[in-house]
Amino acid sequence: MEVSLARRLFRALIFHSIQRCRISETLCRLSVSLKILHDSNPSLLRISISDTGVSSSLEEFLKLDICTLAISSEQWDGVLSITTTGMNDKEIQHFRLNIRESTTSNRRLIKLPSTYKTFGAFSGTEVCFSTREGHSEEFVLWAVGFFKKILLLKDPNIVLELASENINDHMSRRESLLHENDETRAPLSLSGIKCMAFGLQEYSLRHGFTLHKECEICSSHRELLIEGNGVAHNSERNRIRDQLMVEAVILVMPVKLQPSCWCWSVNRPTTQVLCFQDYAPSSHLDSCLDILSSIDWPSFGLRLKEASVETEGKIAVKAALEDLKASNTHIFLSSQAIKIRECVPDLSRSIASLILSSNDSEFKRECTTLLGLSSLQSNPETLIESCISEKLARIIEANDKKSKAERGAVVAPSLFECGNLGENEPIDEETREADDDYVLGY
Amino acid sequence: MAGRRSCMSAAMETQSQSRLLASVRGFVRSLVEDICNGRSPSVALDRYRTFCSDPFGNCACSFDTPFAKEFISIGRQPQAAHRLAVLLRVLSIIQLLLQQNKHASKRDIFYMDPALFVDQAVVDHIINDICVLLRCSRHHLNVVIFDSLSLLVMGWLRFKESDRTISCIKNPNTEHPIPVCLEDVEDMVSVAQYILVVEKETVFQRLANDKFCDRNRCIVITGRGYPDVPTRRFLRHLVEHLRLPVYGLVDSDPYGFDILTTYRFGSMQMAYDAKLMRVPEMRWLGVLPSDFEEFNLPDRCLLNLTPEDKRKAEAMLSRCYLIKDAPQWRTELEMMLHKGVKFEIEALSAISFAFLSEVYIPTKIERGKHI
Repeated sequence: MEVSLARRLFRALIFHSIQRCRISETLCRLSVSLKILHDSNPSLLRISISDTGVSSSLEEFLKLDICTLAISSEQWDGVLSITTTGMNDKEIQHFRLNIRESTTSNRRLIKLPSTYKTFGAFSGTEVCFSTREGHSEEFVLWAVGFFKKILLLKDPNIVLELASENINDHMSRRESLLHENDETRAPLSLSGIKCMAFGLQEYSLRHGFTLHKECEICSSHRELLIEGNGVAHNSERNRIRDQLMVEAVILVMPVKLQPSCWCWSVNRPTTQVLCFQDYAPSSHLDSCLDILSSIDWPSFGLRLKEASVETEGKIAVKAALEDLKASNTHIFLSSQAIKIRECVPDLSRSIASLILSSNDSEFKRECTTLLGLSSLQSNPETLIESCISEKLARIIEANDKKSKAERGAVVAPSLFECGNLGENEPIDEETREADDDYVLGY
Repeated sequence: MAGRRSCMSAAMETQSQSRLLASVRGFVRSLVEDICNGRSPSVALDRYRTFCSDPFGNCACSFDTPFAKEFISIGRQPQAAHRLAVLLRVLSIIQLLLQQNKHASKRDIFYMDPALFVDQAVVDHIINDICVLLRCSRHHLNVVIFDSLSLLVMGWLRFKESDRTISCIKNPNTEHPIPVCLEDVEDMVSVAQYILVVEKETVFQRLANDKFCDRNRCIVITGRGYPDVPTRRFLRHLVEHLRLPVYGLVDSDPYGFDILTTYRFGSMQMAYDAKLMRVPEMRWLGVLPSDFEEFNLPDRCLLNLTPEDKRKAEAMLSRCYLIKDAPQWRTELEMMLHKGVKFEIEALSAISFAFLSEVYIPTKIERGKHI
């Protein structure tokens, strides 16, 4: 099955659009219009991506490389229509670019007549292209899913719009594809990685945004969600502008505490990996899985099933896991510590028995005093046992924190089972700001 | 278990139990202190050994000095945590036995918590660890063996066990069970000239059938293979109280040799108690590899050593106590390996059924043919 050209082009154009919005550092709108002309056979899909970010340098379009040679001219004529203007520009520029021309070095932008600005100061870019791949409805569905992943990041400066318009000889019907609730704002007090964590939580409670609002059953168990964050920087780069930063967020819904929700019975709980680059969903899923495969999961009491880096990515993921472990040591014990903990009931029962079965009452009093138990009138054995169990559990957790580089055991609880996201399209994109975000969701 | 013991021994036993119970309480108290202070509960155990493989005999092996110390805690190893759990469980059972003055076998202990113990060998090892921890012997913990009725003694001996008199001397060729609880043995009297330790029950029965003790004033004892604790303790008791020479009669094979070393040097498993259960006076009467030519034994009685036999013999050659304390034994073992053959005691019947009782044993003792 040939990978959709429209999807690859769409992904690349959205990526650059997001970067222009982020560079502007002001509130921006990213608006996508999908027009389906049904009178054609196959139907014609006209895609328009416009943003209110900074003007385009046009360089990004000249360097687009989407393996166009394999695409027949019946599907796409290779033409991009580009309109862009800067905040201080006096005119709006129009260009036409044919990507089908042999190689990137030979491409030529055709400059069309400009339009003079007659009002206000504004900036922005619009890119349009048409395609006859067929199955326009499938593309629309895919685009909705793609945008919802962007929503997850909760960038406070970018407003997203996605609309479809069905046109035939008789009428034209426009439909907004992102619902009002899809754009709930993160609390203003959150910033950076916390925003991403908030978005991930919402993504989970709305089952990957397949629901229009949070699932009632899952929301009632919100407090069970366990979150860990991690950040890594690459200080090897010379200039601040080229600094590489990797952020990782891990969200866990404990399996044992799974609510009896109909959604879960339909969608078996699996681990989902979402990978972002420069605030756009990334297609570099393979490298993401490579990073995950190199993590020492058994030291967190986990086992990675069937999955497949860059140092910074691994550091960020591990930092997120350590963050999880720091506040949830009882859940994220290493496999060694879990085995040791299994001995706690026997240990505490035997110690309690040694104390209580002794015929030396002075000895019994001494031990109960040490344990901080004053009265043993009712159920003394149970009382001493649970007191010792609790103290032993804490000692085991503390020991586990101190241990380093434990060798993984095979019998770690299985948590991660990387699902196939179905998008493994390699795109070599020019990145002006390398800013990789890795999100691990459950 | 009321016995007419002397006031002295009864008082000593009570004192011993009190001391042990105090040790248990002290140990538990230190565990509780560690736990309350957030430290991993742990136990330190002396490790003893009866031999090593130092080829020059310059090692520091000793029968009463530990060579290492082992720490068991819940720190980082699940196996150690489980072992500590088992130790504490067995210790709580032993505390009850001591307080109630009752006895139990290791099998009894195993079935009190088979899910935790998993295997009787586990209980056995843990009891050894507790002996080291409390600096005592197994019998002090009221852990006994009840199923040793087939361990036998006969000869010119009389003693009291609890309130019964065991008069072997009345019929010196009649077998009697070895006492399980040595603390119940009193008033041991003998007019024997030596003690003969026999590896096999079949050989013991052969001697009894031949009325061996009628014509030889001795005590004959068998541990039926590798000797258990009561047999070794009883033998040591005989040697200490009667001051008699003691001879070992085992098959001429690596298995018999190993049994002989257990009597003389103690076993590695119970190395912590070796000084109380070994009999350094033990001499090897037979069957010696050098006896083949000495007694002109027929070739048809010889069997080839198996590969396993050879491996076992080669491993035993490196034991340091053979180099230091028993070089003649080591020479015989080398001869066995060199010739590549082994010999069972019963094979002496090939000469005549009474050869063992009437010729072989009396001749070797009379001529001092033992090493």
